[in-house]
Amino acid sequence: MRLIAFSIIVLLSSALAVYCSPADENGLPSHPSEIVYGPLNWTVPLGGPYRETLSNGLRAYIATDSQLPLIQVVAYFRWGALKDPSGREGACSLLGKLMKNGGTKAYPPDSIDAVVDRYALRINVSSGEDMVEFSASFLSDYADTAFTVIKQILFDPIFDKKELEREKKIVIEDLSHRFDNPGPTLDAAYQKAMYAATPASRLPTEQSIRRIDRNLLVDLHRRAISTGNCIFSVAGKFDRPAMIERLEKLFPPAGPVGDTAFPKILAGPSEKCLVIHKPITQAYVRFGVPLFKRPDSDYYAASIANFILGGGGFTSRLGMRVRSNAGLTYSIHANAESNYTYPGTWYIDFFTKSETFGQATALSLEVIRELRANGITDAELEHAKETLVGGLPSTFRSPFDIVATYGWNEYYGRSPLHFQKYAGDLQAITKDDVTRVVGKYMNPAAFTFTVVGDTAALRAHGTVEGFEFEKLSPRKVIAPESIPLLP
Amino acid sequence: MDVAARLLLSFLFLGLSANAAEINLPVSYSTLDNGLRLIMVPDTNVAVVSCRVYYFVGSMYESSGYTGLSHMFEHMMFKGTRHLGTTDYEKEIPYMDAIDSLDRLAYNREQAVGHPDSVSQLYRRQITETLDKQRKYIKKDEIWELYQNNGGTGLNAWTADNMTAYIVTLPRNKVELFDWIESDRMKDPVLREFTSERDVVMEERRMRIDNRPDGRYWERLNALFDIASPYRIPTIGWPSDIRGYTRAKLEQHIHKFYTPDNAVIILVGNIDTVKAKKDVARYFGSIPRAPQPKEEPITREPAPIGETRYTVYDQAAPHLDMLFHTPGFPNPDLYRLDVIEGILSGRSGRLYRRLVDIEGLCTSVDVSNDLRLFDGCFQISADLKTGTDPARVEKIIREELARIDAVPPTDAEMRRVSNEIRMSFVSDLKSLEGLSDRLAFFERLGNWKDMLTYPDSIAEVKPGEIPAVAKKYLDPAFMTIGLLLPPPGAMPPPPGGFTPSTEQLH
Repeated sequence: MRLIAFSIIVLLSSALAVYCSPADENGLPSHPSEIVYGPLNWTVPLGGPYRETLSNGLRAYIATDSQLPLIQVVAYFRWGALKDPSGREGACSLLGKLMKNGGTKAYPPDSIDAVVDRYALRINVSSGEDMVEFSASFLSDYADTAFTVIKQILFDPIFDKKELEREKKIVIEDLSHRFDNPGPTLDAAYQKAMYAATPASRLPTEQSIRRIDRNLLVDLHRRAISTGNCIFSVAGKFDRPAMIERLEKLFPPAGPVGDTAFPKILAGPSEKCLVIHKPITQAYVRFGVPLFKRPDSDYYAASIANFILGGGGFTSRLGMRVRSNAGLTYSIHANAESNYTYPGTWYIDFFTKSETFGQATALSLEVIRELRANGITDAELEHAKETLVGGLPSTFRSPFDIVATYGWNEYYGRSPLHFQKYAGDLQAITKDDVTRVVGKYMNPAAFTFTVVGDTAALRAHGTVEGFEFEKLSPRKVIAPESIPLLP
Repeated sequence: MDVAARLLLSFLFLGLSANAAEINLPVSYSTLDNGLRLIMVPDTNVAVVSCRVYYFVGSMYESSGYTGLSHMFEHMMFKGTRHLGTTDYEKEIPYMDAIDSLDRLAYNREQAVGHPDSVSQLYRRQITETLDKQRKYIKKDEIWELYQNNGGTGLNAWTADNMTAYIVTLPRNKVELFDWIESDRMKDPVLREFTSERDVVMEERRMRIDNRPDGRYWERLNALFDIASPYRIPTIGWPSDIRGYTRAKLEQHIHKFYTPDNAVIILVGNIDTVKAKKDVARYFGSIPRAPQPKEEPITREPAPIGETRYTVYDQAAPHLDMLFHTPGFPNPDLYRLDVIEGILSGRSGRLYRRLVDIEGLCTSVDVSNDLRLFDGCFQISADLKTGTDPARVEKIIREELARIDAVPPTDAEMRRVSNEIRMSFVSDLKSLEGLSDRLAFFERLGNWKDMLTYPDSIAEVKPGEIPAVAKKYLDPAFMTIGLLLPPPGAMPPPPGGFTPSTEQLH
């Protein structure tokens, strides 16, 4: 067998030897760095030309695009799960589901699905922490029907009681399996560990879902879904003046918008280490520190530092050392969260087989300590900037990309010129800026650890040079089902 | 010699009118002398180009002892070539050879004693030490860095059962970088850092399959559904095969499959098609074909002789799958099966209405008619509510299948399916990358043009044709049924009544 294998290697070597590098044929560059590129001739598109404030007060971004017989819509409403009433966690999520599935005045529950399916309308209402997002796409020749349905869903939902009870049962069913897999388990546990006893760590439970009734949804809908509380983006095959006229009829005149502010939240780690016992063969690990709420003058420096540390994929230090060199994980990332509603965190996460839990963690910490001690190189800084700036043309591809991106931009209160200034802001960051933010935030002594894995295996393999799992204190070990009961 | 002058065996520039003339998709198709196909779709509204090279190889070309090799090579393609990722390739060779020998010693030791032990660990440490010496000559992840520095986004790769893709989206003026890197990867890949990347793949397998109840369940159900067809092979490979990978095995695999005559390049975006075609010829034109034409798998799934039933008890949401054997592409019955998929699918579809709305037994239902080469698969899946008797769900699905056998669909159902197919078709064209994958999918099945005519083929299906097709392929007597259920006697967690089992250790 070895002889056969050896023969194959020799054969391949011979075959490969006749191939040429690109430089050997047709005067091609001998290395990609020698390719001479033409100019891109592209500038970041402005959002202003698409922006309208309609006669009904609706803030809208409108772009025509006749390439496909398609219309795409996204609307952002300032509301979200952070505003769920205490004890009724999950309300905003149910609001989104029931706006469509709970029927409307013109389309009762048993007919809304039929009309949506008959015309192949893609309609979704989803709720995040700090945003309710309505999205739709449909064939342009069904625009009249689609906008009739959209109007019904946005402004005339009836929140049918029977449908509400049915959706609640489905949600409760999903809740009982939300920790079957380790990834979502880690996500929930990390929020609990970093934002204890705040709206950012609350999770829906069976009781909180049961307490949600129709009256609550009607009230939430009244407060959240209104013309004045919306930023609307639409692109596709239509006539622009006709679309403006359509939207002015679809949305009622904007009235006063009530209290849409989100609660004030600060990151406040509750434990040094939170362990979720799960009998699996890997350890899912995330450790982090509190960061800031944007806008913050440290953001771009942190963004570059994060790219170099672990946000930049294979070329990042963590990707190179922990994944590529050591083969300890399939995925390792650093994430300096870009939060506009409450302070984010800066964390590192990865998964590795239980036997290398301590080794991978120690190596990650070593990489961070080296970054703190020695800073970054000129080449790393340049690479980070080029990568972060170079991706801009991919952000603005289609007219829909442009209007959706600027709608989102306005929702979070950023300058209309944010993307025009972005490259300059990043280019202004120096090595000293990066060193300063790493020193300010990325302190290994301050990390809060969250780990999902088999407790016995974690203990058996958690202490190596550079990391002592047993000494993380205070430490709490719980079952996945207990995560929602943490403060 | 001007390679461009000798490239074109065939060149088409087609302004094909797709789907009732509502979309004009300017697809150009050409083939180099060496068999490399090039598909381009210019779109001047964007500033970028989706650049993808697809090799028509995947797990269906693998066999026992070699499963997952295409996926392993997907990882290794980022390790570089003779010219990229190295400062002196020749000096790396002895280190790689030494690592191969040490790796075989470690492997043989583990096989002999049945598990890693101190001896195999010693070999592994020696591998690490040798690799550290080799790394003096390695330029880490140069391919990744080159793409990133030039505005590349979405840099990645993926592996499926019948093809593997290497993908990046570049600013429109940087497409030549793709030609340089991908032609070099096609010609001269180097399997450096092989053993550590094999460990990475094993971690990926643990994440995707071994530590996910649904992953474990599905991998085995798939292997039960196809008892002979190579679609039964898991794309990521069986664990013992992954551990048994060697550079020699992988090089043999590369030699057979990663050649221009088994690849298609698809460029979608703001592209100068004349220049792009010329550049592809310059960079790829001299790469030779495979020594032997690729052999397609010859093993076909034999007709089932009865029902296969498979039950797994695990910590997961209760779930049911019913799988039926269907023909491979092309076959006109596949369009009729697509119509059946449409009738059963969606919130207003027959199955959702019965199982979720009326009976309240399930939380969701999904139906898919998978188009595959040689052997197809029609799948019905349902997520069950806790406590639901799976036999009741199975009974209702059987009733609905019997109804399709007996009565043609209504005109309203046919209109709904037609709209859905049309919307799916248009939606696929929204993104450069989505269009690229769709073209590759149909080119893999035989001809990219089928993508454009697919909606019309569905529209030609007559309601009266449906019952016979349902009767022929969707016969429960020959289905594979899988059940993923909570362990017997397991109770759902009490409603909020937990007391956290805290452990204050220090």
